[in-house]
Amino acid sequence: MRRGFLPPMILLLVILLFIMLLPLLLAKIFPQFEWLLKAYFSIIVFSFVRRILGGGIMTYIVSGILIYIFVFQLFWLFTPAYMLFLIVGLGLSGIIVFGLPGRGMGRRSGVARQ
Amino acid sequence: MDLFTILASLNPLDYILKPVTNIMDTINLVILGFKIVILLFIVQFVRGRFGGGPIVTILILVLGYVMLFSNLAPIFTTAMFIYLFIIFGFSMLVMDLVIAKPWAGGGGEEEGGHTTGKEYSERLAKTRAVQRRF
Repeated sequence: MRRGFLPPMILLLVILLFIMLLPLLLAKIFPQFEWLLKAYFSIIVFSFVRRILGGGIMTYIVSGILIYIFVFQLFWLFTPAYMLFLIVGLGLSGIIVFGLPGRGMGRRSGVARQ
Repeated sequence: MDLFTILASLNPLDYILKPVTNIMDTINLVILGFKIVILLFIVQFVRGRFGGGPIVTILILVLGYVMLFSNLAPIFTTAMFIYLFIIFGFSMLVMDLVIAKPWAGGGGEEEGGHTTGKEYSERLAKTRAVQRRF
């Protein structure tokens, strides 16, 4: 393995894990936040299904099943997955990879090492 | 109540197997959810290509059966999972890590300089667009 590869990757994993698990932590501390997240995820799932199936009875049935499975039964799995999707989908992964780990690590993160 | 009935009611295997069965239940639930999502993607794909109608519905059902329940299901679901990873942008993260090598440090320009996955794919798209003109 390349020298100096492991510590930044561990740091990157720790940062990603922190961002992924932060909503779960907040939901554990504040129960209202959990219900807020569940409402938000329900809207996300419903709009995803409606975009594909259009407005109709099937949309309500399928989105109901998906909301029950992903939002209520698998909340602890869906929330980190959605946060990871947000990080990657909005392009925040570039900031984390090149910016956060420190000046010495990234080429884009500042002055090059002498 | 005799000893055997008490032991049978305790059922020690339950205490051992319950966490395992719980995990298996969760995995089955995840698989069910993903199968529904994949079915939605199939519906979107077929409707986008062929519009609506009864034949399209039959096509959706056939494709859904082949891709989710037949012997070929593991191949198709794996391919679909990789496809989902790509369209959600995980490839950009992998390309950032593999091409730009942020752990290498040093600010060297010899390996392509400041290149991220996004810039690389944009450059690739521009090159292809130029090639298409000729």
